Amino acid sequence: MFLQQLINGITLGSTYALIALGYTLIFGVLNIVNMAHGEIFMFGAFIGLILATKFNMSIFSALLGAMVAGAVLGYLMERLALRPLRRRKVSELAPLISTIGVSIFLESLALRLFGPQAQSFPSIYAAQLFEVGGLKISAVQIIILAISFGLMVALRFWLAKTRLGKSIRATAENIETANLLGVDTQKVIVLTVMLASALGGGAGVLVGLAFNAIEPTMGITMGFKGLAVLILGGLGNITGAMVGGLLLGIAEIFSVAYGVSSYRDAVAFGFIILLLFLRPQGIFGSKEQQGGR
Amino acid sequence: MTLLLEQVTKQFGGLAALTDVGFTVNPGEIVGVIGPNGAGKTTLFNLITGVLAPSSGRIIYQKQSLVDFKPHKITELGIARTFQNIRLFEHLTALENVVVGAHCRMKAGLWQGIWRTAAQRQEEKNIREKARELLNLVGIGEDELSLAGALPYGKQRRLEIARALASQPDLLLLDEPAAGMNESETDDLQILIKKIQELGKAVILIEHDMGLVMNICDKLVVLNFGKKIAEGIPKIIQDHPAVIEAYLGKEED
Amino acid sequence: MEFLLNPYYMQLITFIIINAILGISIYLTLSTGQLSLGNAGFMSVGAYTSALLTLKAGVPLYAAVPLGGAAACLLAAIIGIPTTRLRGIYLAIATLGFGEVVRVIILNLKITNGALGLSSIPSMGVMLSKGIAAFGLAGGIGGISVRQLGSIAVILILALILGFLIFFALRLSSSRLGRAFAAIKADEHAAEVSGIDTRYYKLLAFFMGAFVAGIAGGLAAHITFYIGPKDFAYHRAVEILLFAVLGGSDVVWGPILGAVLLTVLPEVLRFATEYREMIYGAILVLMMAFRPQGLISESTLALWRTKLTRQPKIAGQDKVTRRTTP
Repeated sequence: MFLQQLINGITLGSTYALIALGYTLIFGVLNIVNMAHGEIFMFGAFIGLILATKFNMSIFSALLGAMVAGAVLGYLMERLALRPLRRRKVSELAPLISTIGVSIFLESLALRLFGPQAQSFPSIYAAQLFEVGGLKISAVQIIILAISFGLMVALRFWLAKTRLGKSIRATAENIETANLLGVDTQKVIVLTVMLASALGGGAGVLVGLAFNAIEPTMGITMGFKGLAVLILGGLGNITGAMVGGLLLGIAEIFSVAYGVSSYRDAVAFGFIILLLFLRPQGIFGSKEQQGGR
Repeated sequence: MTLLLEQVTKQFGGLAALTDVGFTVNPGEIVGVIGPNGAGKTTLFNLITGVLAPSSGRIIYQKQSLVDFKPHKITELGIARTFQNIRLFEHLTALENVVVGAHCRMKAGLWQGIWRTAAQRQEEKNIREKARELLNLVGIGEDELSLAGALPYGKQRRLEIARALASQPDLLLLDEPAAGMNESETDDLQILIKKIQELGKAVILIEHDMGLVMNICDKLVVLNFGKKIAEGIPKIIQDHPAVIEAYLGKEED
Repeated sequence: MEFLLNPYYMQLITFIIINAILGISIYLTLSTGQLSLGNAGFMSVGAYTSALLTLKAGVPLYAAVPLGGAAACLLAAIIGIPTTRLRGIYLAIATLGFGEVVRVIILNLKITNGALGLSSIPSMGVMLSKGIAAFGLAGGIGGISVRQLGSIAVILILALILGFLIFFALRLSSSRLGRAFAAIKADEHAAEVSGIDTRYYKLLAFFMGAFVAGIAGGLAAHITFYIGPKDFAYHRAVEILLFAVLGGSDVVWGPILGAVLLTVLPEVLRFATEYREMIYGAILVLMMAFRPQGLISESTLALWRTKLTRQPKIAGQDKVTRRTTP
């Protein structure tokens, strides 16, 4: 029972981690909390769904399509809502407010485009169950685990080894220095936002598979969880986002298993508020990143 | 004795910014703190004003240890400062900036301010008068209604000094007040600092302008790499071999 | 007169006033440079406390509403002591999270009736009409029915509260505390070193915002007769933020203008109702890009002041035109 819940928790947590990675990438490079990330995630879910049902694409092509859609939305958001703010000195709250605007815009757009009712992926994957030593793992769970861990590993590798990945890290470290070193920071910023949004779009499809229900309002709920993980792991910390996501997933599954299921959505922020009391810089954040002075 | 520092050490994650620094400031004395960039001068100010806590050592102001006091409390005790990079409240007028500086010497609470009680109005009137006097003292009396951010650089420096004086300090810390000033402005500043001394206030001055420092300081403390390498009256410091090597020697590069 | 007594317009006016009060609540916190997105949460605490006190404990309305504000304040103390240590983004997210936690708790408690919400909350209008009737005016006065008199009384009371809050905010901003707030907003570190206990004043501003939001919640509950957890979700928080972003948060008139515009807009423009959230989103993005200080800023006011005082002729005309426009 315990192990079964743990596996369920890790599956859920890996999707949270994927969402939180998007937040943390953007925060790392731009010092912005992208409040619209949850809605980009939700759009990814719907695009994936449409590709899988209306166009009969395989789940992997649908995932790819959702990631492309996420990237496009990310690009548009960067151009329309973030870049205009960089032209002049504004308060650090301005991009936060601007992306809140994007978030409610996208949510409302989704309500018009896709309707308010919950929709679901075809259940062919969910039906398949594998039994390993008394533990039940569904095909969906395996796909989710494989894809999210695959994406996380690929991202780490890409950031560490490739030229572009290195320039992203350099920009995250210090944007002026990166500029002096000849990094095209404008390009890096656009790429980071697109990459983060692509991850968000992909996570949308995976969560759609896991919960078997997607609706326009899920952007807010899941976005909040990603935010919780972002703070949990320490702003801008990639390892923190991964571990924080897993922890939150596990915590939620156990809160459901042990009888406080209706409070499930409050677990994330209960976590945060507790953490802010104890360790404002997040579990993995260093002292310099902390919110307190 | 106004201020006493004893073996003050500050480390930032293993890196020592200041090591065993100690000196004293007597009432009405102007003490210059000099040294090359990165010698730990501003860190010293941050320790005295409670912005940073020392890793070890004692900072005593008028027989009271300042360690563990918050910055606003230290200001209330009578230590005020200015900043190397000017930090005024740019959207407030010059006069308002000075009045904010007097915050800890005012008493009116929330409801007194809302109902404008007689005591509150009297206090406002007095403080405004005092603030105008201070603006006149630093020589920008005619700019009281200008927004602080709109003042020219030299006047901003003076306004910052006026704001610091508004808290009625016994010890004033000036962090490179002459930075970016031309010769005549520096001369005016020299006169101003002398005036402040005549008001009975002690001053600690971080400054790179050696002419200014030599002219007005009663005592100099020389820092290099976070250590005090010399202390004494300007004449002696001028000829101190360690100082010439560490500080003046560097200027020749 | 007929036109103004139309229940629809009377209701609209009450909503405008309540939103203006919410605008003041976010303004008070913002005046120290803190962005709190928890005001929807505080509003819900005020609304539920006040509604439950009248429904279950029979507390009279005039006591229940301030108690709702006090409850919001109490919660602000619990949440505020750790969060006001936080700067900028952290505070915004922590308060947003707080609102979410409050919403989930309300959704799950028995006493709050979960997702269904509370209905038949004692109405302020009915209470006041009864009072007026007891006063011997049961038949109304001058063709105005006693119900309408009740509604007018509600509007008067709300206007009085709003008037007091504006007075409070204006007096505050020109007092010692207001200057401390402004200094903290401009440069927290310089304020601290200038002798201002920044932590204390930030907390105070946070409390004031929570209290006012709680009061607004209580008033709203007794005007709409029904409250549910959905009324205080993310969108409500964004809407309150929007008042300050559109109108501006330099001076108290900013968020009030924002509240008035955004309450009237969907009523005037049909398409604005349909695309309301999209328009809201676009406003947030556009304001941040082109006018982050909001429609009314300190300099706009200064400009008007100089126009009105230094050029008497033009100022006279100005006054005339401003008087004739409704």
